[in-house]
Amino acid sequence: MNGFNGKMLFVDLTNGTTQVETFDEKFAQTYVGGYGFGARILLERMPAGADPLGPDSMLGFVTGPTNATGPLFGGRYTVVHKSPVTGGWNDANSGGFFGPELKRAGFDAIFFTGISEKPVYLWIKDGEVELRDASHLWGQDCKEVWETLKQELDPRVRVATIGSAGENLLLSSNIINDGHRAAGRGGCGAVMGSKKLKAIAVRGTGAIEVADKDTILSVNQVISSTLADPPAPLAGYLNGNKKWGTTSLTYNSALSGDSPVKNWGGSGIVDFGEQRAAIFKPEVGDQYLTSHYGCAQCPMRCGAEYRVDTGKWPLGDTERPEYETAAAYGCNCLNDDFEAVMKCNEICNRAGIDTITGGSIVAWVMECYDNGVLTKEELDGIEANWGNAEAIVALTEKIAAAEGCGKIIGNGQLWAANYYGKGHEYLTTASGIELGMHDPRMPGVDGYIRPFQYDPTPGRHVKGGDNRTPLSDPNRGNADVAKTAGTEILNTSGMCLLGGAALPPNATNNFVGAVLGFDFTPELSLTTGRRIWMLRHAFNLREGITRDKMDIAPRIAGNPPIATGPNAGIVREPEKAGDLFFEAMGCDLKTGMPKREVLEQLGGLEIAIEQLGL
Amino acid sequence: MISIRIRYIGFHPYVFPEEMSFPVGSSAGDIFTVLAETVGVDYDVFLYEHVFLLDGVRLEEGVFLRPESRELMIFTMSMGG
Ligand code: SF4
Repeated sequence: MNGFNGKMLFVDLTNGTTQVETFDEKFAQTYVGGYGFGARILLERMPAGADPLGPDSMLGFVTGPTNATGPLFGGRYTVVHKSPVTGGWNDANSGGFFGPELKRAGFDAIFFTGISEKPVYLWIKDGEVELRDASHLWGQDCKEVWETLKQELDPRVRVATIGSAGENLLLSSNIINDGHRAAGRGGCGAVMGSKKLKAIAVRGTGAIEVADKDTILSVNQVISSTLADPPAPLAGYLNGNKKWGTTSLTYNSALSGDSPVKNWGGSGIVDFGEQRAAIFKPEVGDQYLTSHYGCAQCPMRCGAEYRVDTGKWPLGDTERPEYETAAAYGCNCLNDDFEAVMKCNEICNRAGIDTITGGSIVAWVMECYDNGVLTKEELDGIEANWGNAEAIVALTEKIAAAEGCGKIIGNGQLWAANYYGKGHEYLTTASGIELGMHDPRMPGVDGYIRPFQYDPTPGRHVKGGDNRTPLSDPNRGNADVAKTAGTEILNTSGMCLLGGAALPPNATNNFVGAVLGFDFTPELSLTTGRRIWMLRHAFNLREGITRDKMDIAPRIAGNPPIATGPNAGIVREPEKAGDLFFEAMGCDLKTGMPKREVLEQLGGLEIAIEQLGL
Repeated sequence: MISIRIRYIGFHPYVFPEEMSFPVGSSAGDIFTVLAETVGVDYDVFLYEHVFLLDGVRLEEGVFLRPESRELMIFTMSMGG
């Protein structure tokens, strides 16, 4: 088979049994990979209404066709499950080397069910599978687990693991692979922890066949030359990413209205100010730089290793915080202490905490504290004033240890507000989950508001959303669908969104077609992307999450509007953007329920028709 | 004419003079046209790529250059990350 091994591994952790199932080319061409495979499998096999932290809950690790098959930027795998945060569908992808290594080890996906009696880890080596005792790993942080397993198993082993946050079932928890690459959103760490599954270790030396090596090489050549000498106007963006990764944007975004400021209630240029934002100029971090790193198959290598030996928190070896982390823990908390951001990044990576959620929780706590809604006593003596770097670190440490207030706030803003019975007016969530660090009130980027509220994984800035077509344009709905479908293909194929600017037109479709061996035309890609979106959407509908139940905190849409700065006075219309999108998708405007004939036209959705009773 | 300080905080390879002069009463559109011409980029592309702040206030339709205007900050539009 081209592009995949054609094998999925199913692991029942209650009984400690494993089973291999095969799939064929048609399955791959219909659902691509990643969460396309994942949504198809979970919709069929996970019972409706299953407790996300219970035995019926399924947790999948799924590769895409571009993993281990040569396409540049094709190194990402996807974690899929039902989210304990939103109660609906969740997918989260991650870079590093874990995905391609899993594929080389002989499996394209692993799906876990059940709950183990004691902590275990799964060890896969070139097709051999073994569940092993993980008592000695339970309690270790994500970096320690990788080091331990490298010594125990193989120095080249790749490991996906949870830290203390996942072990303690905190909803802010994630899954970390390769020491610090994160499948971040939606509480996947808690799902893994609920199964008493500490880690997955993989080592593979196999090769995956591809249908058309020449096409892959020729697209790769175009990407390589674009990156070597980027043409204007991409040059600044791509050169910035090569040198500083996502942090090339942090300073600019803190002031331009792109980054949320003061728990989405402020304006960077006014409330944070140029002087404080200057700490996030990309060159500031260069003093800590020791080397650059990249994910498998990546020519851009946007990551960096840091070494911090001085200051308040001498971390030793650590990683450069990504943009999302720096914004969430920086201007969104009015924090201009870069050392504190690095410290929180390190705490989160070790404990397996999503940094978007972590920083957003701290920002919410600070606004509650500022308004007298949460007290020092409720926060274990921490004075959570805006920008208090020590308090930001202390709160993050509390979450990592699941101790005191950390046990509460570590479950996210909404969970904490419900627990305390207050603070709901300061929530900055969509359907209960914190939001990516791109403000849809920024002039010219109203496209984020629709996926923030209405994507099957709400609160994401990586799920399409059209910015170029005004809401008043009759083509807006179709443009949004096209952009979203394209993003579905990019994500499920295993490609990196950040590399998108370096790709020639149609590159992802050409890669997928060349790897799998079929003519993946733009028209077919659009249909396939819509099909995959429908699968995720159907999963939510089956859980009773109809469109009218998907909400977003009013301030995110500009209710009330920001008073000053670049986003002043801007009000977004998520309802209208949602109407246009759902209409173009062929769904009922109130409930979001798709029409049966739409699903039949898209094809490959018999399971959705059956499960939704259409 | 008044002289305005220009600060470009973008990652595009555009180079602006540190100061540019515009007639008092210039509209946002007038200013964008001159800026786009200065760096040789299509007007619509240029607009799509940037956010403009005139003395901390968004420069957009309905905003005009006044005698007391001092500084124009030009930010790159985010491409995610
Ligand atoms: S651009 Fe960055 S995140 Fe994307 S694949 Fe490359 S190194 Fe990984």
